[in-house]
Amino acid sequence: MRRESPRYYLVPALLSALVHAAFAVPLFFRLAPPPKVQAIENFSVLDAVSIDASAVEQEVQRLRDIDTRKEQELKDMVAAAQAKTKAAEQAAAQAEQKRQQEVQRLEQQRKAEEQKRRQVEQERKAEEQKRQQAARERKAEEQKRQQAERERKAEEQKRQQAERERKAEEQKKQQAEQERKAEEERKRKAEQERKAEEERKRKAEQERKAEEERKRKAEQERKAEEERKRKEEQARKEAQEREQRAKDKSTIAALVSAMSERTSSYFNLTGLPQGLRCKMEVRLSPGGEVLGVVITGSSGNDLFDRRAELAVKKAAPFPVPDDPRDFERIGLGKITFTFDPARSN
Amino acid sequence: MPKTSPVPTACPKAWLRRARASLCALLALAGAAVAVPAAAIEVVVGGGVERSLPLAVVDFGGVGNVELATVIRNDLRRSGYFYITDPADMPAHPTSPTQVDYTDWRRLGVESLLVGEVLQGADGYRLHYYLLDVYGQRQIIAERIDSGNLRLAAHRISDSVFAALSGRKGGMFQGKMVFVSDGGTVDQPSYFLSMSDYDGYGARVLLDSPEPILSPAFSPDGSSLAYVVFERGSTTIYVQDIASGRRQRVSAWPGINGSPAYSPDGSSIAASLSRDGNPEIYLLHLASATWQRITNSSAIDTEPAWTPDGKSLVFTSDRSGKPQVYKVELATGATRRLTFSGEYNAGPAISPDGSAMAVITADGNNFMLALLDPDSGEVVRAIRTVVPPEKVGFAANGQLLLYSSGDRIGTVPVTGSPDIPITMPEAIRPRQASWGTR
Repeated sequence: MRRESPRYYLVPALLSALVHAAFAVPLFFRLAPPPKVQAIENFSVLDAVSIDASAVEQEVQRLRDIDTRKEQELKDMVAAAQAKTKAAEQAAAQAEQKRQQEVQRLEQQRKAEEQKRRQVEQERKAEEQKRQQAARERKAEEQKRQQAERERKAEEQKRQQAERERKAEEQKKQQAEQERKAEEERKRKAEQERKAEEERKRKAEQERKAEEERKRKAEQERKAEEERKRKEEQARKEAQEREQRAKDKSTIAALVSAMSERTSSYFNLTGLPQGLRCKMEVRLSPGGEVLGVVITGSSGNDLFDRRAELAVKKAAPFPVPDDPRDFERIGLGKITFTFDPARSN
Repeated sequence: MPKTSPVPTACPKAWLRRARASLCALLALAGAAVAVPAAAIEVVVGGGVERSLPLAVVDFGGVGNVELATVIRNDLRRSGYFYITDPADMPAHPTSPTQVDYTDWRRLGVESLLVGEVLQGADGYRLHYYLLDVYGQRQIIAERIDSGNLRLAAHRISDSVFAALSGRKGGMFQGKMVFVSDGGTVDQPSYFLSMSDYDGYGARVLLDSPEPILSPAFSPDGSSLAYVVFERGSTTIYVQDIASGRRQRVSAWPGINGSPAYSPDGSSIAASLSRDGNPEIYLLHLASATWQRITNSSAIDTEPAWTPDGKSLVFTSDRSGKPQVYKVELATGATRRLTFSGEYNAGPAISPDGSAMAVITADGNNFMLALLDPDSGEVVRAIRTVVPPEKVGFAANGQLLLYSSGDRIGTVPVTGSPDIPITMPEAIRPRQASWGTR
């Protein structure tokens, strides 16, 4: 049994390592970043429903169960190991005695056994290698699984992100739609108001036109009335004017006759050749004074023209109407004098 | 500056008041003013009047020993065209247009105003004168004259004024006169041929003769005279150069050599000669000194006068029994009687423009002047002179007549008045006066 003693140390060490590992595994999981519940909490309740939570829970439970079982198995293994250790120690003391006796033989044997042990060790190592290989594979598998899980979670996150974006987009669209609708409503209302305004205006225009038409008719009637009155007045005036003209005519005849007679009596023909005539424009004041004389048709004889002008000036003032308005009307302000001594006066 | 003033309006005359009254009546009918378009009113002035032209000749300012304005006033008064304002009535005595207030003169009825002044020039006098139109308020004449003889300058102004205001040609006041006067004693008479201004001033003797002088006449250019002198019981016609005094006997036929008259071109002299018996009209061609008989009648043909064209003569003949005026065409000798009005028409003169003929006419014993139409012989105007005229002639412009009667001479316009004597110094008694034609 003594030969087996190093083995006895190895087992507890191994067992210890195993226990530590057993604790380390769940610890690893615990220490691993917890699922991002916070992020999930950000979603609405409605959103949470859509995630497969029970599956996660199941998985978590399952992992916990595994942990618990492994823990128990480790405890059992530790207790068994401790009992074995005690029996072994008793046997070792007995064996030491026998061993001393049998050292020779054992040396032989040991060498054979060493050989055998080396073979076993090789086998164990191979086994161990095999086991480690399995553990590595398992670990790789686990890593792969975790990687898959991470990817899944990233995928999930991405999906959720996409979902959020979609929802934001959706919201934006809804917002836009709402705004569009509001704009449409506004436009509709504006159009309605415009139409109402148009209608109002149309009505006002209609009323204005009606008013205008009314006024036009009134104006027409007024004008017709005025025209009638005007015609009456015109007829009256024309009659009056005819009368006035007739009166003016005789007035003018009397004035012209008086002027001619008066002027002739001042027209000195002494020394003048015969057959001459001249014409002049004479401006008279309302008082009958001569304001100016312009020879408009010379006789060609300066003296004749001068004597004629002199006659007009000496004959002035001429008889004129008392009322300056009569003077104006019958055109006495500017009159023509024609001197023609060959004509009898 | 002359003030501009309207024609005087104060005191409307009676006729104007009447005219206005009737107009008022007419216009009262017209009632309220109604717009009647005014037609241009034309006043036709027919006829006219013939009356003197009111003229004021203001005494000239400045220097000089001649009453210049008086000479001008006398000249123009003789023309018969003017009513000359008495200097005593003048409201002012302006001597230049700028001093004239026309209103003053219009108030007087003056139509034309003559003002001026005489300045002493280097070689005589310098005159500025202005003839002003009182109603037109403008200058009709503005002239400067340089002259050594103020009287001649005055006559020149008179002619200009006359022409400007009368419408007739001037020139009568600058003419010369030739006349005869006698002096000496009864035992030793002397006769003088003198030349003077048209009005007798400035006379100088051209010939002092112991024999009577008759019928002096100017040559057309005024440089020579033809006249008749009684010599040795007969008559002789002389031609005398005025400037040199040299004279030439041109006709000394037996009997009468009388009534010399220069032709208008001065180349010949018509005269009445009795060399062939009774007095007949002859022409003396001066260049050739040849004679041409014009008339041939048994009566007395005398006092020839030329028509201005030089183609005919008018003369006095008693071939009808009484003196009458006849006209003979020189080229053909055709003769016709021109005067039929009155029993005596003699001593014809034809105006330089040929438009009028003047004769001495008599109705019974009333001798007077008559203006006739030179073609028809019709009497245009009979002019009674203060004394019975014996001889008549025209002034160069045909407007004024110079007549002689005994020892008195006078002027009368063809228009008939005024008859104004030409006065001479007391000792001179002018006869047989004749004006030159230039």
